[in-house]
Amino acid sequence: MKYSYLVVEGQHDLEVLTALFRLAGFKRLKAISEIPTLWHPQFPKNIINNADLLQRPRVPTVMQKDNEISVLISPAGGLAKIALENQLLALSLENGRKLTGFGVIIDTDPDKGTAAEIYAKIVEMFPGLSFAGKPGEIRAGSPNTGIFLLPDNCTTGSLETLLLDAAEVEFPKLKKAATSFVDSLDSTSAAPTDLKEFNKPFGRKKALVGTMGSIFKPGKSIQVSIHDNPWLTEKTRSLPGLAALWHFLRQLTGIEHP
Amino acid sequence: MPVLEKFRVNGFRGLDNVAVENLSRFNLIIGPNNSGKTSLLEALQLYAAPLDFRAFLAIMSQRGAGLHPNAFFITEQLRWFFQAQKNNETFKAEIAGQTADHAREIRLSYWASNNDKSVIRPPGNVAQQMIFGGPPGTRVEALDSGVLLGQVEIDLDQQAKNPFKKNVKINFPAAGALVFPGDGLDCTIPYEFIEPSPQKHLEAGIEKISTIIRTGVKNRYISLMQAIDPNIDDVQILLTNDGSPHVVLNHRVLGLTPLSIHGDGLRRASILAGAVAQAAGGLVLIDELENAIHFRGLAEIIRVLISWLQENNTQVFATTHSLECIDALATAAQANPELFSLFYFSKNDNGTQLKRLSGNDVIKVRQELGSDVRMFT
Repeated sequence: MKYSYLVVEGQHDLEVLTALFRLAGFKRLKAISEIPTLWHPQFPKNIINNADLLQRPRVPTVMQKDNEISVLISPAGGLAKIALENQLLALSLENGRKLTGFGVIIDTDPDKGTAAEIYAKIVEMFPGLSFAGKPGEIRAGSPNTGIFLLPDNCTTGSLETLLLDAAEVEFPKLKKAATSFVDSLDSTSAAPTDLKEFNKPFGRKKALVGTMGSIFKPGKSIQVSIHDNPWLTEKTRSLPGLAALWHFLRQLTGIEHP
Repeated sequence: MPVLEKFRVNGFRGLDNVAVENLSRFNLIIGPNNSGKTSLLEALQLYAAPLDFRAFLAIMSQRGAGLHPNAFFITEQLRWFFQAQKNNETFKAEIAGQTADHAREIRLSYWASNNDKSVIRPPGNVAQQMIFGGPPGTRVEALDSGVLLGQVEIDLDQQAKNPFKKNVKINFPAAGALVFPGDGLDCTIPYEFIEPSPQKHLEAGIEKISTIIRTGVKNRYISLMQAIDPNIDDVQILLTNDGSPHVVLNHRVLGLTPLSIHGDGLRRASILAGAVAQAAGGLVLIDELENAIHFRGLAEIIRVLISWLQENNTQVFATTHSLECIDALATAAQANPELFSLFYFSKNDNGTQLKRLSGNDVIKVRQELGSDVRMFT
């Protein structure tokens, strides 16, 4: 079995990766009893004493195919918390030597720095590993390593950039309507404090994706829509942004066939 | 004694080429059954008292044998101190440790003169020779009928310039009263070994409680006992009507009550306190630390212990199977994570595998990720 470990920021990133692996014939393992023992230490054993009970605990997802490839995707909870993943990698996976691939997939958020700065920060968080010289590239080794900065390893952006490209292909009418609605909003639409998130760099794009997700799955989170609705399909996976991400994941994890 | 920083065991019990490094004031040993946790504690016992046959006997007794009528013959028990070594007439083991300014290396060996190491023969039938330590050529004395002789040669305080060697002959049947008269050799490091089950013979604890009272650390003892029962506010040694001394606790509700009538948790806490007091400046070796103690009291007990260990310069090696015990240590030492380390023992075809987690590692993994460190194989 080839084991690979992927770190993402949040649940919707996790869900996009999960959808990409599902397209390649992977299944999501839902019970600990199904999950290979190598991954068991990656799961929380109990509710942490000082944890904020309103925050979703970090629970990884395991995608597996034919007992040949097993991929653990860990939602670290943001750039600052990614360093904690190194504790698990170093202590329970011999600094990744038990893995085929180890990768980090993260937004290029201008609040966190330029692409080069974010890349350098992540490299520093994993002192036991060697990485390629720039984002999006794989350094072959034991394990293969790589850091993918969304959306395209150079410009600022986030996962939503890729999802909006996908929406344009799969449900253009809905996207047009949602865009019209979001574009109609201005600073008078609500109190400034309530529009704080909306006015952040990726606020409008996230709101647009969220609007479409709410139409598909009213009252549910965006990851439910990513899982259930056709955001990620054979057709959208061939779009340049998602194709680059999928190529990166394939190289990293040793998937031979698309 | 300054804290041991490194400890190495070779050929003892199931431990071969095992080196534990970056030791801390409080060292917690975890791992599956039969991975060598208790053997490490036993090796530490011999490290502390290499010339005291009572330590050898104690180790046998801890394994449920020793001088018990149904136990293996003593020589056979001693043989099992050593790892099976094929094509070798002599069983050999090495135990070595190092503090910041001090090193000690102990070499143990054993063989039977009849070339059949595996056969157990009662004394009186077959002459048998036994040697503890010693380089090739060390003189071996034949065993007279019924009397087992041993010979020890141990490099003590092995500093490069002046290795100190001493041969000691041991008349084994007299080992219970063993002394080394006139040799000027005082090499025993204070140590206490705490077995997993709550001690039943509390009279044996009187010496330790006396030490606690005499050395003015009764407040530490009471703090430890209060982690189990907040109503305990004093300890004394009193004679009962029959004139025998007993450890008596003052309980705010029950009044003066013998320790022996209280539950296992209080007795375990008393044993822990007695061990830290008695082994001041040395080693406290605890097999299954959490035994008999409710999980809610563990963190406070460990907090008091750690503070006390620092005060009297004592080092702890404790085994556990309990995640709650690991959490209790992480909680108790949160402000000073450098005071503890976790060592994970496991076995595979290549022998004993060892993994060290620093106090900081344990705190992060348990308190920020909630992962089970016992699964870090």
